[in-house]
Amino acid sequence: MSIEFKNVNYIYNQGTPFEYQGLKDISFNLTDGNFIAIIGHTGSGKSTLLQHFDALLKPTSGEIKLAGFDITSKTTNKNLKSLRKKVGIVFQFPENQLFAETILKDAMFGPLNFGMDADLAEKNAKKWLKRLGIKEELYEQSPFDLSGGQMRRVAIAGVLAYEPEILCLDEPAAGLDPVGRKEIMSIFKEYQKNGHTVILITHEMDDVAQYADDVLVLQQAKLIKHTTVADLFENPEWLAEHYLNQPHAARFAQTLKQNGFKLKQTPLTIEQLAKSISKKMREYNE
Amino acid sequence: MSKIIIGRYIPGNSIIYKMDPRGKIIAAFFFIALIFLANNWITYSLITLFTFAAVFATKLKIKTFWQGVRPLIWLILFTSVLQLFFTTGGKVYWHWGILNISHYGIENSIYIFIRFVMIILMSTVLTLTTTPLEISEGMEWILTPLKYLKVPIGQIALVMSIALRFVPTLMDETVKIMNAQRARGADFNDGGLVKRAKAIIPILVPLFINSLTIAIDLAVAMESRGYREGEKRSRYRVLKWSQYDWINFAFFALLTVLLLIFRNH
Repeated sequence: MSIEFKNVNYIYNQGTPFEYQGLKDISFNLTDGNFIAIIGHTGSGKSTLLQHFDALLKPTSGEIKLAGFDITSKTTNKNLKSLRKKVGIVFQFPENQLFAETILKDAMFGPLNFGMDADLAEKNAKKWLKRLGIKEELYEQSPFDLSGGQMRRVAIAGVLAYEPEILCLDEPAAGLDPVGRKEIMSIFKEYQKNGHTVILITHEMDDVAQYADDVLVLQQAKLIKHTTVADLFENPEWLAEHYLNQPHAARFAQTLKQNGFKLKQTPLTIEQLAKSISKKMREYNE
Repeated sequence: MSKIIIGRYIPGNSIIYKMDPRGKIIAAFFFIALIFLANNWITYSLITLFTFAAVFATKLKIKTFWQGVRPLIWLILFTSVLQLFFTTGGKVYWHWGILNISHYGIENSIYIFIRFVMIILMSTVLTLTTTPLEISEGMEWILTPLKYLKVPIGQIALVMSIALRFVPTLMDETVKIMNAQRARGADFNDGGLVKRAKAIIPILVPLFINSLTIAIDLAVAMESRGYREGEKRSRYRVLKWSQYDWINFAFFALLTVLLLIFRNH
């Protein structure tokens, strides 16, 4: 099984003077179990695209196939619950969706809605709250007493608690401190390695390089590139043309090259960069 | 939700857009008074022609205006039908108990229909071509005399502009929260009354908290930029009376004269 978009168009406010096209003729095929990054500028259609995975928006024309469902403009709202159980979305600033009296109740909201019995829902909610670093003595407290970063973690736990097959993330680490960012990104990576698909919207090329397998690049509502991470960052000219950055490691290597120190391969992460430099140094010494 | 056209502004570039909001508001209120001058076929036709001229002058699609009238059409028809059956006088064509269709009844129901539709169309011309902010600034100017009665017009106008400014923001916020809860399996259209009422809690609580956060942030931002209660302020947008407003008033004066001449015909 895979995730398939076929000629998907989406038009906002169709038939009103405020009409505008959010997605233009998007087609792609994603392999299940991969970590996919979606990049592009603000307003390029990333968030619009993400809402199609959950049928929160339905294509104006075209077809989407995922998790055993067909979504077209004619899809009714009736059976969407079983789809939404399989596709979880962590929206931008998910801390804004918290509402329950206690942290635990909020994390159990999703699982209960999707028909899990109360015991299992509680077990799952506790498991993911713990995994996201929320201490047990906080479970019975109001989520509104937490710091922004902790509220974010509770909200993410609330989505992971029903363990969706496809996890969609809209800049989940925006505004977090570097340590927190690394922590939650590695939780998502681990989740993918345990047999789930993860789709990540981000502006951080370092995260793309470190965690993703494939990349979708959007520009002005169109899909302009669908490729592997290594291939994307191989071509700095193309990236510059589309106002995208390379990861820091690759930029560092680029600067080294301009100063006459050429590495064989473009490194994408700090680890790769360190390895290729030390390797090259050893060659010099020998 | 996005289909509702009443009170909405649509950007455009016709003469009506260049008019001063104060002039437009005064004209719109004046129009409502004018409509009651009409009392026969000629005067009602004049009013109708005048309104359609205004609608065409906006250079917006006619469909947009129809969307403005449509939500109210049943209410208008209902009122007209009541008039039709309960007005007596003139030749009686049909009657049953207290219900009857008379000559006056037919005439009156048609007049009432025209009156309603024209008032809605004219106010739609105002709101489609004037931003809510301009309307609130215009209202502030019109209400200025109340200052001498110690009514804090400046503050009321500010509260009004802030409220209007944040309507779209809160609408966006609501959609976002609803989507987030839907993604977590919430269902807003299912089950009985109690279940549906309960389903609103996950929307209302975050919406309430987010609005408070926005309000506090806005207050801090305003204070840090020097806003003080009751202090005199200059304006970024200064309302300017233009030749178009005189032309507008001239048309209304002409209409008034014509109505006064033909109403006794």
